[in-house]
Amino acid sequence: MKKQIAMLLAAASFATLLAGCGASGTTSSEGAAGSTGSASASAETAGNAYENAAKPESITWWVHDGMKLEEGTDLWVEEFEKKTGIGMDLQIIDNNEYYTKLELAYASDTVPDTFDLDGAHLGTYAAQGAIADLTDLVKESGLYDKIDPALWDSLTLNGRIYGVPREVPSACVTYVRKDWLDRLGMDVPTTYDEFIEMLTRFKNEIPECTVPYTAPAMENVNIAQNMAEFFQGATLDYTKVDGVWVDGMAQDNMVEALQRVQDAYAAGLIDTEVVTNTTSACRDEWYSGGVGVFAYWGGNWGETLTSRVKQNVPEAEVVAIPPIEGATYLYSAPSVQVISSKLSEEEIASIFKYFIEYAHDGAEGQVLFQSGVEGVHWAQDGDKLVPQPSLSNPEETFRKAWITPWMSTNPLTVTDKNMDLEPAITESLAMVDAYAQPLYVFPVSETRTMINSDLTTTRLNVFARVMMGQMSPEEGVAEYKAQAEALGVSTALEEMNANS
Amino acid sequence: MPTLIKASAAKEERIGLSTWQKVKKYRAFYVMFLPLLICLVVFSYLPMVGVLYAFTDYTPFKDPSFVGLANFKKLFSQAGFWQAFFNTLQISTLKLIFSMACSILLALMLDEIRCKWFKKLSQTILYIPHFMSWVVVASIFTMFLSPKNGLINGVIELFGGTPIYFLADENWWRPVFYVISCWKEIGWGTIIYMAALSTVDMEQHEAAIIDGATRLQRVIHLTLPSISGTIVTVFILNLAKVLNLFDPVWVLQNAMVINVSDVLETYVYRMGISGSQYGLSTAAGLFKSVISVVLVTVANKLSKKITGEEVL
Repeated sequence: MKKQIAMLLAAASFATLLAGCGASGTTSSEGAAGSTGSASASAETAGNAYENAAKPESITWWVHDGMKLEEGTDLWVEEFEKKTGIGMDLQIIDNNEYYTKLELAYASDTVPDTFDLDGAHLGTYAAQGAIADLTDLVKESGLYDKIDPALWDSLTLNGRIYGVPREVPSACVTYVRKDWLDRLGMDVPTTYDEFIEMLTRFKNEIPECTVPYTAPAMENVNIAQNMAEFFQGATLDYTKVDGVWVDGMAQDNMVEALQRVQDAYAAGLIDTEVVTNTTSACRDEWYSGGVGVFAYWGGNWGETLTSRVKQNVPEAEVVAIPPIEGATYLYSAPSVQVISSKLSEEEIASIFKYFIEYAHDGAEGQVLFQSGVEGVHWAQDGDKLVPQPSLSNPEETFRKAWITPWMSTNPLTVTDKNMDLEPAITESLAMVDAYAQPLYVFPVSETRTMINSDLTTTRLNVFARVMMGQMSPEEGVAEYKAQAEALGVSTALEEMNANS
Repeated sequence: MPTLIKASAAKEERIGLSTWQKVKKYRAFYVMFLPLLICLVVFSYLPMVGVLYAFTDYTPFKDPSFVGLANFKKLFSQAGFWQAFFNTLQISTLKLIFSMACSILLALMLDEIRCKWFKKLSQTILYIPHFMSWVVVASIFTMFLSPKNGLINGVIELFGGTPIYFLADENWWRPVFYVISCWKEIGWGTIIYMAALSTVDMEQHEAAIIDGATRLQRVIHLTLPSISGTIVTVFILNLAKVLNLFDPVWVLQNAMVINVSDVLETYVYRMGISGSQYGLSTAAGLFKSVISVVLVTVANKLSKKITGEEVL
């Protein structure tokens, strides 16, 4: 009897242990039967589909950024339903678990009608047939002509368009404490030597400077965005050189970039804790007033970084500087609005026409998606649209609903919705517009998807070890090349170039 | 109580009750057990079907296709997997040993406290870290261990030392991890030992005192043997979950120390969630579970050899 009980307990223990393995297994395999076939249609069929598209009764939309619940999303939904006559099932997903929930939704056949994807996921979803091909609808509707061709180019996969950019992608620009420059009688640096001299003098001559240069170095492989002066055009990620996809970390300019980072770290110019820094830790340090230079997003963040540091150091002045000689500011890959391929062709055309196109109509719809609800989030004052205090924090103004007004892909056609922007926003945006280079959506590659996690880990590990002086840049690049080759980076590049 | 149950069972054997008659007789107990059984089936057994994905090429976007043992072959051919596997064994074994040793030591010390209010206060304070999320714990220790303005490095500098970047140093990461894990779980781990210590026969202690035994001698020769059964049981139960290292490792690891900190669960997470390779990550998870079962079975056999009793 004891043996039987023991066996039973052992089986139960085994079962409990195994249970965690199949967390995703509770989903029906039927639900995983996502259409692998393309949802594309011929131009003529699409034209018919677009022209004949009927207004949908309701739309399910998942978002993970933009308005927060406490900012009145329910009022926004009411307004959308009132203006369009379409029911809206808006679900706000926590950013950290967005892609997990999205994949679970595919597995359980509960995919929202429309949602957004970033550049890293667009190729994967398109390759799996998970999202609809919108090329013909985009062209037939005229939306293609309203948006910058370079933006379409950056997100086109194999000549096909699978998503519409919600807004112009952002880029990181370098913010410098101008009051410190003034105290030292220095001008904005224009060369690497001047830049290093500035950091050195910040460190040695500004008593309150705890960190001359901060960055969240290990959060992702796009660190070149946050350390443009050191990378000077090099990148840890895949990049396009003369129209061909290459492995950025294996390029010739990487050794010099790593040497610059290593030297600056050894000299104490880069944040000692750069390896464990999170973005929020960098921001907090900047707000405290102890940081001299921080490369971060242009636009909204320009104003936030200025106003927050002023709360702690009223005399602080912040300036967004042009890239130094040789350095490049990089846009992030565009985030795009997509439609599930599980819908029928007619449904896809309906969602496109009455939701995506409405959000970019240059008029009523775009204002609603940009600035929210009139009387709640904004008010009309002559020919100006005046943002109102945020419902969640009346001390701050409501800046955007889902599309940042000053980063829309096409300008408003209505003339009475002008906005006065803070100088900190316009100045940093001017830097972005003048100097930022586009980042392209990665083309479809099964191998790239498969090795992505290991390759990213290898890249960051080598970068961190070189930066902290555990090996020379040459050794680092050599070690990386060997590991990347073993993982199959050449195959990934072949596939990417074949599909770009 | 166990004697009464045994007597009752023996009586039923004699009068020849069938299984269904026994079920009917004890139906109230079965009804009470039912919710637990349902939970066990729904949350533990049904998800086991997902294990089948280890033998398929599966993404959420298409039907899984059977690939046999291909996922396992691929897994075992990857250097990252074996690095994670050996890291898991090393980290989990040492963590288990340190945590248990510290908990036993702490329980023995608490048991020696005679002032009741101080004992209760100490226990309460020691239990608090267990209820903190690992994210909070990681944030606290990241601040404490900061090479820039952390408390620990402040002390090191005070004595003329050079600041150490503990969380980004391959030599320091594991020791720091063990200390943080111990700090978080040591207090909670004492609960069972405290309960076991309360059953130690005081008459034996009194006899030992009369015989001239010191306090340390009594702990070694009386207290510890008295709770050895509990120690073995707790060890085996902890062994079953010893490979579950995701939370603490994930929140404390970084690219600099990935070679010494990557464990099977973080590896599985990266493959499954970041790489969308559900088949491969399920295979890795299944492998981890099999190792857990082997560990528990071996420990159970060892327990029988050492103490003469099996826990399972």
